[in-house]
Amino acid sequence: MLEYAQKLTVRDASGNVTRWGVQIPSSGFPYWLFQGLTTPNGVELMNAAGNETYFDKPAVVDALQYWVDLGRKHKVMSPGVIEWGTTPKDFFEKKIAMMWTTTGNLTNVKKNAKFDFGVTMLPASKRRGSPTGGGNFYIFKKATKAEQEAAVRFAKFMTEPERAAQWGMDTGYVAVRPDAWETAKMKAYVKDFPVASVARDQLQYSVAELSTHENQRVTKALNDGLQAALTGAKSPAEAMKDSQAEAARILRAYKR
Amino acid sequence: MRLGAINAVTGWLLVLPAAALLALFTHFPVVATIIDSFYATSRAGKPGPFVGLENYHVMVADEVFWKSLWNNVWYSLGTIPLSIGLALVMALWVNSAMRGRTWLRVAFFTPTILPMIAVANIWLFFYTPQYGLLEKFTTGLGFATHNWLGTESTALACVMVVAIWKDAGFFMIFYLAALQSIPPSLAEAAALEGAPRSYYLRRIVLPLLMPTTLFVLVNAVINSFRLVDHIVVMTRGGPNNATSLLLFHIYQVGFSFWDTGYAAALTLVLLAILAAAAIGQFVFLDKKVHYQ
Repeated sequence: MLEYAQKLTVRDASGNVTRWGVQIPSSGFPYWLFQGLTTPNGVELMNAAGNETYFDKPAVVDALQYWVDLGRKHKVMSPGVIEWGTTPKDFFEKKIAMMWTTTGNLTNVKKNAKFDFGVTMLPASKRRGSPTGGGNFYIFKKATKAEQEAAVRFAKFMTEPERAAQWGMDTGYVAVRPDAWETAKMKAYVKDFPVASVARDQLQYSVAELSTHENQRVTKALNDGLQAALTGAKSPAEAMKDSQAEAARILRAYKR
Repeated sequence: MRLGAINAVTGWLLVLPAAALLALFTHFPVVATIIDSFYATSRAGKPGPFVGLENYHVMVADEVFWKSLWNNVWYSLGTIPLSIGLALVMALWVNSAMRGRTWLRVAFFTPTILPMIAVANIWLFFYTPQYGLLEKFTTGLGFATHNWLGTESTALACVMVVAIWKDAGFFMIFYLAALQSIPPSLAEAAALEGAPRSYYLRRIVLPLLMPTTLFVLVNAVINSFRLVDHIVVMTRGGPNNATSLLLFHIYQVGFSFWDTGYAAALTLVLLAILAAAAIGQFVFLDKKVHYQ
C-alpha cells in the first residue's frame, strides 16, 4: 500500500501536497481502523473473555508505527488526527487517492464519486484481515413474553433475505445472511457492480471488533494512545505502553 | 395580628409553585448528586456500596479530568472576553444610523438561532484540510496546509472560535436593547458640551451598559461550561483529549462508561465552579454596577 500511496501522492511546484496517497481516519473511534492494521500484522488486541488486552505487544506497536510513518516519515497521508466524517468528501474532491472507510459508505461513494473507483480488501502484511463492524438486535431477558415475541418478529422481519439484500444495496453494508446474496436482485446488482461483494468476501479473514468488559473505557484508553502517537505527542511504543497500563487497570476487577 | 398571619400564609402560598419547582428540579438533584458521589456505581442491578471519598481519590488521579479542567479554564478565558467584546462592537455598529443595518443585524444574529449541532457540522467542513474554507484562505496566501482539528496545539482554539461566533450574536441582542434604552438626550447634551465621541462612549455609554454586561457575563460563564455539543460533533474530545471540556468528560464518564458514582463526583466539581463564579459575580461585581 505504501508503494502505491507514494506513487499517488501529488505535490505542486512548491512542494505542497495537492493529493494525499492514502487516508486512514483517526477521529472518534481510531481503534476500529487500527484493527485493520493490527489484524493483517498477525495480532489480536484482546482475549476472547474480554478481560485482557494486548496493546503493548511488539506487533501492535509495529502496526501503529506503520500508521504514524504514513503521515510523518513517508508523507503520503495528512499528519495528525484525520476526521472520519469528512473522509468520503475528501475522496470525492480528489484530495485523497485511497481511503479507508466503512463498507456502509459504498452506496454513498457509488452515487457521489464522479469518476471510476475500485474497492479492495485491506492489504495483507502477514495475513489478510479486518475487524467486523455493525450492530446487533437485542432481546431483553426481563421484557414481557409478548414484548420478546414482538422483538423476535421484528428482528426476523428486518433480516428477511429480500429486505437484507435491499438494505445492503441501499447502503453498502454487507447483507447479513448468505441467502440474501442468492436473491435475484442482489445477483443482478453484484453482476452490474462487482465490488459490492468485496466486503463480504473479506469476512472470512475477519476477527471480532475490539470488545472487552468496560468496553467504552478500555476503547478510550486505546483511542487516546493512538491519537497521542498520531499527533506526535508520544512515540508509538510509549503510547501503547500507557494504553495497556490504563486498560489493565480498568480490567483488573474482571481478572478474578 | 391575624391579618399579618393571613398575609404571611398568602405570601407563602404564592411562592409555593415556584419554590416547589425549584426544589424539585434544582435543589433535590444537587442533594442527590452529593449523596451519589459517596457511593460506588451500581453493578448488575445491585446498588453500589458506600465508598466515602473514593470517587474523589479517583478524580485526583484522573489525568483526563485535570486535562479537561485546564482545557475548560483556557476555553473560558478565551471565549468569554472575546464574545462579549465582539458583541459590544457589533451592537454599537448596528445601532448607528446607516443603510442596510437590518440586514447586518440579521446576519449577526443568525448564528444564535442555528442549532449547535448543525453549526458544528458546517464548521467541520470550514476546518477541513486542503479544500475547507479556512484552508482556501491560508493556502491562497501561500501558507502550507494545516490539519486544524487534528493537531493538539490548534484543536482547542478552533472549537473556541465556533463558540465565540455562536455566542457573540446572542449577546449583541442584549447590548442592542440596552443601547436603545439610553435616552438620546444624553448624546445631545454631550454633543452640546463638545465631548468627543470616545469620551461619551467611555463615560456615559459603557457605565450605563454595566447592568447588561453583568447579565451577559453571567450567561457567558455558564455557556462556557454548559455548551459542549460542538465538541461531540467536531472532535469528541480529541485529539488525545486536547478538546475535552469538563462537561464533556462528565458526559463520557456518565453515559459512555456508565460510571454514575464517579460522574456524580465530577458534577459536583462543575457545580462548585459555577456556584463560586455566580457568588463572585453577584457579590463583588454587583457593587460596581450602576443601575438607573
